Amino acid sequence: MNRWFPLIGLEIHAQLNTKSKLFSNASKKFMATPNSCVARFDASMPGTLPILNRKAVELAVATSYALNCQVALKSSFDRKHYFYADMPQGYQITQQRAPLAKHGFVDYLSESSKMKRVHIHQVQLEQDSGKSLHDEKEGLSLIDLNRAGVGLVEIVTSPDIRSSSDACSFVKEVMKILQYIGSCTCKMEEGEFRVDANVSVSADISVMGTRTEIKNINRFKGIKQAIDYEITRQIKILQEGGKVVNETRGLTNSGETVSMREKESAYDYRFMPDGNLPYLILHTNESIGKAQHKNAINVDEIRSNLPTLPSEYRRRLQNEYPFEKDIIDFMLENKMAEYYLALVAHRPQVDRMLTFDYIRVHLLPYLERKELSFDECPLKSNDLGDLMYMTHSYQIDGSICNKVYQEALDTNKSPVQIIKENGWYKISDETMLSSWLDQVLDEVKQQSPDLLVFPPKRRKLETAVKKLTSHVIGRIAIISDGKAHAKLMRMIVKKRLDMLIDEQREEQKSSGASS
Amino acid sequence: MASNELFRKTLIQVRELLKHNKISPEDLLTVCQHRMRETSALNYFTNAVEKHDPLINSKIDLPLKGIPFSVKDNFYTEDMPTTCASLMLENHIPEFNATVVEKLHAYGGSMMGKDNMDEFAMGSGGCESQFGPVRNPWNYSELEVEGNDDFYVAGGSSGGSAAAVAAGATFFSIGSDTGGSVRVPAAFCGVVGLKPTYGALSRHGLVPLCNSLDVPGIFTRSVADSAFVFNILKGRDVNDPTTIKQQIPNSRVKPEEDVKGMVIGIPKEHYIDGTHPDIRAAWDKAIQQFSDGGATVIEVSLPNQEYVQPCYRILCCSDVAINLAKFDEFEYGRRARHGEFKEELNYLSRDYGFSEKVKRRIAAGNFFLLEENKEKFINKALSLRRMIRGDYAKAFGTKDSSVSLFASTSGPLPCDLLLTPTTSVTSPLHSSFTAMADLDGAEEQDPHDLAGVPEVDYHVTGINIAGIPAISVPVGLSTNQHGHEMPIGLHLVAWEQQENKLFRAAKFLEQESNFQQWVENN
Repeated sequence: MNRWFPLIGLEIHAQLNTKSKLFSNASKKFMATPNSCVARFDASMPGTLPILNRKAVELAVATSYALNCQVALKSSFDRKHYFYADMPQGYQITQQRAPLAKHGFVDYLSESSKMKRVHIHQVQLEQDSGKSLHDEKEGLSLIDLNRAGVGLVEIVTSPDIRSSSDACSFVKEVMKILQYIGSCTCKMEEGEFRVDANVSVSADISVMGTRTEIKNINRFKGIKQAIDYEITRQIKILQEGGKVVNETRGLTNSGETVSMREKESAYDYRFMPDGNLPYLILHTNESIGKAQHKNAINVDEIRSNLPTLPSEYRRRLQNEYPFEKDIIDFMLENKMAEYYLALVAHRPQVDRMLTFDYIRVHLLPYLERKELSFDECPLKSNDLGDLMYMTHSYQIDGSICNKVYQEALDTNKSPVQIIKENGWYKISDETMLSSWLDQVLDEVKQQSPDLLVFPPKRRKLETAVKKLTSHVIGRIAIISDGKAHAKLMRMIVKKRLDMLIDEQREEQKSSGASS
Repeated sequence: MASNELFRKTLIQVRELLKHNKISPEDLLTVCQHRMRETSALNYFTNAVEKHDPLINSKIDLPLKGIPFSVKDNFYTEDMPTTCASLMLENHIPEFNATVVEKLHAYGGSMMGKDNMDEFAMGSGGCESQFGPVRNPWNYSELEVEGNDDFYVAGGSSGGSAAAVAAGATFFSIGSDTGGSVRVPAAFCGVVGLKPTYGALSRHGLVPLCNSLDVPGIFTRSVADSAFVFNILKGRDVNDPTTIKQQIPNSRVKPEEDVKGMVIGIPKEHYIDGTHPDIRAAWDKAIQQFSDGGATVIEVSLPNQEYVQPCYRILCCSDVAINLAKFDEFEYGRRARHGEFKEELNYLSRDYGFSEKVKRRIAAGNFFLLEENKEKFINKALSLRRMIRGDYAKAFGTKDSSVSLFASTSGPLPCDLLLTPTTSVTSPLHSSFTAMADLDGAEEQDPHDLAGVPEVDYHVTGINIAGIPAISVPVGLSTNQHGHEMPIGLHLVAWEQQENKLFRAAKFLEQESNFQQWVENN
């Protein structure tokens, strides 16, 4: 029985998070009225010329650096030709000959918690196409040019991936990177992020088999489905002595891949430099002074302003506490890491897991409801840190904690201030608590000493202990005017009663033995 | 002033008259409209402006206030058809003005019409319009009197623009020059034709032929007029990323120009067989005049001139194939009635809309663009382009970063200008041009045949490949075998953004040759 080695390379198309399109000032909105976001250039009106969107270039440069690429200071645009109604120019503007960036890599954590690396072959800027809608009933083809000309970065990987689960982990990491630097919101359901997968299998790990390309995977689950289906399909063909055809395939809704066209007869895109677009010249700190115009882009500036990337947050979180992979993933996905790390830096004494849970259970749903990011959270990380610290050090108890948390969100007051104003500090000094306990136990001894006899005569031991405990705690609450920290008090009471029971048991044993 | 005098004036002259209130803008309009009616048989307009806005008597002295002009029908004009002389755009009314049109309006100019042209600017005769050929005003009435229904061609592709200025219907016009399309008709019609540096004038709103070569050009009746219009139109346009970013200095033309100290290069590759003896003589005479005027005249070499046409044809056809791809039945032209499928509809509509010649160029362009032909054609053309530009850079002694390989520091004296004829022949009769350019398709067109029409375009196309400016100046007349006198144009070339040098030497040529434009009209 042969072992088969799959090899996977991906092409990721991510819509750049800009207000307008790559070469026109038409706005870029999802689900806008058809053909309402179309500039003359997007409709290919003759004599209109492409004006490169500066923001799109900046985002693409940031993306390239975040993917550890080398950015070309001089890149150029080419036309890729095909006749299609939703491509009114008859060509797509892309970067075939001299792309924006090359030779990068992305390190990601695989499902088995192993760090793995995928090499990035190149990153290029290009236009998205329009959409065709076919009304079968009326026999009409409708065209919506809203998407035509929206800016994309295409990220092409080397064939470095060996399994569908690795492909998914890698894609997740890329999504996180793009989201962290703000170049793409990566909503696959809105078509902002699409993946093409090149899949081959081979019996020899050092040889690459004939590959097929699965185009336009536009749901996350589809990545795994498409690759798994394709690997199984290709292995079956090879085992039966057949040959895999080099072709383009599509993914059906049921997760199967189907042939779209064979590569041999593939369309010749007749690439040609775009004469309407000058070279894209980028500058460095050294060359920016010589730039001919004030809109010149300094790549060094973009690189030094890159926000902290998910991989760095992962490293810091791992150093901070031995969290499980899932928890770190959860924190990264929800962009919680920065807030969390700032919190624990401010109050290193807090309980790590309890704090994480508190944020996950309380703060995250609140922010999601209000559509706020952690940056915009009204409760600053330091304040939540104080609250967590006071809770975990028994200065306040759990129910007060929730109360304070809610009031802090509602009033913008700091938790410390709220607690002070309301006098919600609890007494957690053990000697104090013990003396209250002594006082109450003395009371009980005088009023109903039966209650302190173990084992009790008429009840089960547990019932009696429970009853006594609640009585004692109730009395302490009254005596202490509610200042005794409930959880701590409960622990002390339990300890004392346990001691009492043990003492009596010992006495009985020894008296029984002596009698 | 008698109206038959007024239309003969130059732009600068009528500006003076307007300024001193000797004439009114209404007078000018009336004269030009009258002239248009008189010469309508020349077919230089595809569409004439019917209703003119009442001229505002504002006190602001706009530089072109009330001056009639026309623009080639491949420039977008708001609310007026822009046809490119093709059935594909027969009824196409754009919703915005090209930047040059917008500027001319803003400066107070008065548009008379849209100039007829070769379909989509492909041609050198002005004969390949789907609305009929443009006729050269020179000797048009003589031929009519002789009972000959043949006519002289206006040159192309901006034939209508040249003929309108030559006929006195407008004081200047705007054409487009991709491979000589302004300078050839200027030479044929005896007017001044300027092809500026690539990117000096905005292409926004110009229906493209070849994006990396196209540049709007200017037709006028004098060199000073040319500089005047150039100063108005030049400059960066935010809507055209290929316009030059640096400020281009204004060009001034003195009433008398001299050429003392200038170095004029005569490229030896431009002595070609088939040059008309009168043109050769006019060239020699000009060389003498420059020399007498204190310029140093030297021989230079542009060794790659023989590759200009193949390089041009490949780049141009490829862009044609691409640029015309957008003209499908969805947005433009007439939708065919019979087509059932999208592809069939598209095919039938395009088949109807484009002429044979355009279709041939589209086919050739797509052939060049095939992946298997990339190395053989496109990549070769792109490197030829660098070599050809390098030849010019060397002649002008310029260190051009993109061609540093070729521009050596030591070598012959760096030239200020190059001087050649504009065309090797004067305007031919329509019948002989048809044979010359094989318009009737007598020979099977082979995409490998990349020669063009050497008599017409040999001297001019390299300038577009190099992206540098050139001007054609009428210097005299040549009597042809039919006994008709036709104008001769000489061609001055400068390095990029040195239009001021062009104007200076062109003005010198103009004053030395004392060319009489109206010798045959009346």
